[in-house]
Amino acid sequence: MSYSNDNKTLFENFRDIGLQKFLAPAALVILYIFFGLFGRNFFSYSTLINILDSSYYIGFIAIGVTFVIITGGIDLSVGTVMMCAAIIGGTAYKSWGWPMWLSLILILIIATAFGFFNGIMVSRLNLPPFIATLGTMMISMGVGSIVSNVRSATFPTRSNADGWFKSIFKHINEDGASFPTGALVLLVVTLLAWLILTRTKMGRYIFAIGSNKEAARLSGVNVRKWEMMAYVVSGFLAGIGGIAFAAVYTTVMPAQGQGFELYAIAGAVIGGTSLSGGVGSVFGTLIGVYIMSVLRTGLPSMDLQAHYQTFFTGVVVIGAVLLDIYRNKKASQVKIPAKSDLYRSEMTEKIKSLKNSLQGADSPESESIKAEIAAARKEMNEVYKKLKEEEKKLKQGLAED
Amino acid sequence: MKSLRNVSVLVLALVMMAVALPVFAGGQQGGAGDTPYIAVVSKGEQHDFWQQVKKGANAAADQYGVDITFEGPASESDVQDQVEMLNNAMAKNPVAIALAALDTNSVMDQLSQTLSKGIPVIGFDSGVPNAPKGSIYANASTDNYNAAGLAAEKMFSVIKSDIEAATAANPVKIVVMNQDAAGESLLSRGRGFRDTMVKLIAEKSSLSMNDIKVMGNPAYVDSSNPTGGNKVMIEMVVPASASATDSAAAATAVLNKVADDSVLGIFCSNEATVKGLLAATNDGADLPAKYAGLVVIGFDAGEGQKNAVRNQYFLGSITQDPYQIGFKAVELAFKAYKGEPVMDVDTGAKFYDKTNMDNDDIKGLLYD
Repeated sequence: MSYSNDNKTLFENFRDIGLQKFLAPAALVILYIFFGLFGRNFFSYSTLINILDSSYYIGFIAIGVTFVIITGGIDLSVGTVMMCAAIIGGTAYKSWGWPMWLSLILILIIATAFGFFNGIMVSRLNLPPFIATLGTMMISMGVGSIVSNVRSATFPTRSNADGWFKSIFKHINEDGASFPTGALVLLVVTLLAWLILTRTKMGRYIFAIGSNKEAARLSGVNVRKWEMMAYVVSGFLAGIGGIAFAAVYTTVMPAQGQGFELYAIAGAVIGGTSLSGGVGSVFGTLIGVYIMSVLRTGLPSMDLQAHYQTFFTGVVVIGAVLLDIYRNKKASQVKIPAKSDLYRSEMTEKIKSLKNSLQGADSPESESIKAEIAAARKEMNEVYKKLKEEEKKLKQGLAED
Repeated sequence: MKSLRNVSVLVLALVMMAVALPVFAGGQQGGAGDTPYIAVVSKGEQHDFWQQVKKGANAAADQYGVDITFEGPASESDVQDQVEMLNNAMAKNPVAIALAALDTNSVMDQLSQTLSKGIPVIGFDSGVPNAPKGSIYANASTDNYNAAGLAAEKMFSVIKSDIEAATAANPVKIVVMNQDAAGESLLSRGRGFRDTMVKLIAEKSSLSMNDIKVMGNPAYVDSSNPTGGNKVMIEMVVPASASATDSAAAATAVLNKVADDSVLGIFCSNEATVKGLLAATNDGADLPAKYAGLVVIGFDAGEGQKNAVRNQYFLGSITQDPYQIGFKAVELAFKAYKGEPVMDVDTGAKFYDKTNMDNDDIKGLLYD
């Protein structure tokens, strides 16, 4: 008996956690298994590393953009800011002869500065986030090209002494075996972001601003400051993304990065972050990023080319947003139990108690109880149907008036 | 109960998506089985040039009974996409890889990995310059030096008598237009034309080595070249930048001197410089009108250039053989996988003009 009770609470738990939180990881697992069954050599360590490798740069900016989206804003500049910072860092290293560590810090500073710039425009100058970050997107792309003279920036390769920074994201030992250290970095960053969002004042304020900016302001929250901080975090993470990009792909071409922001936003949305603000989790975003990354690696393993990946990512994004809308609608619905529903729950209780007594009873008695249950079920279904139809008619009548 | 139904609807939707995938994959997923798999990662896929490479690669795959995948990024600046394509291809356990790298530095890790695993890599088209030693087993590419030499032979046969008529008082000039002085393939083309022309003049005409002067961009003038002559000038021109406008400006500058310097011929060593020349000559229509007798030879194809050849504004052009590039790349990869010794293959180049450009063996090599 206690077993069935536990079962029920487990199901209720699922419902409480929310369908989406359960479905996104489920979709990830389903996709992974699916590609494992149909792809060529998909269940392998090297494929796993490829999935992780291609998740870093989108992963970092997706976590950053999650902060901004939770405040109810949007950051379209993350992709180009990431590439701008990376190419300037590369130019500093290659053309200006800066040491490697300083070039990497420069990447972080430039990206954070762009985040700061976005934050000021949105929170102090009251520009709509869409417009402000659209402008920054173009500005950063232009700045990257200007500083680099439209030349590609090549970071040192692994054999070079300055190639140590590549090991931050992928460690390769002498035997040629590689270890995806970048996945750990991404996980730690996600964990920190999660702590900030759920365990600190800043996180609470960011959620508060996203839920209702005016209410947050009236409650004494320094809305300007904390809204700006969300953009600064986004910029800083774009910097980390830039370093990850340079580490994995070595060469940074000028005027790139357009489109990455959309993957980042897609990752956040798939992970359950609501574009209307106030709702979101960085772990959800991480799952969303991995879903896209699995698609990116899985489709080629089935000999499908890159454009199929874009297609299916689109399908996943639309599915995720539909879920989001459905969930919001469900949450905001006020439920008034109708007569039919009341009757049904009453009958369900009755059947249940009969079932319970069935367990203690011996065989002749149980036969009669079983018959009773069947009768009750039949009665319940018939009456419920009738009541439901009556209610429907009533509703229609009301609608016609 | 109701929410349970919704869950099941959603799961159904996911399953449907999963079912849709193999439908899309249909036809493309050949018999995976035990056939050896060779991954071909090119610089692109969209241009007709690459489509010809792909055709050749597929033909070789059929002939040798191997599975191949042929893919390349959407544009030649999508280095990151190409790296991911290579990663994904390597995860599929290929027996060999054919690669035309956009950027060697960005695939360094991958190359050292194939080297340690013993997977042969074959370079094609421009190959994988500066790759770690031993990782590239062989290259299937156009020998640019020889291809440009072919242009020099064709030009020489037409202007030979004019060259012999040159005197110290009335010197003649041959101009080579090069897009830049950095790319290895362009440097080879410029040098190939220059050296062949010098050799032909010295050996096959009444003039000698001492009558020739090689001049122009220092990257294209070697110490072994004759620079003391005063009858035949070979000028190596490099525009200010690789942009189309600078190409056109450099072409205009050369054309302005055609009469004064008695320029006999111009060789444009790639499609970009051809486009510059065409832009400076009203798509080539000015060539017979204003510069009658000037011999122009181009390189590669493209709509404008084909038009110029067809209208005989150009004497003709040199075309690479993309089909052979693809075919030989897969063939070499297969041989390397079998353990046979492989060496670099020159996939050849052909001269085309109005008379043969519609022949079957040439037509396929000319792309728009």
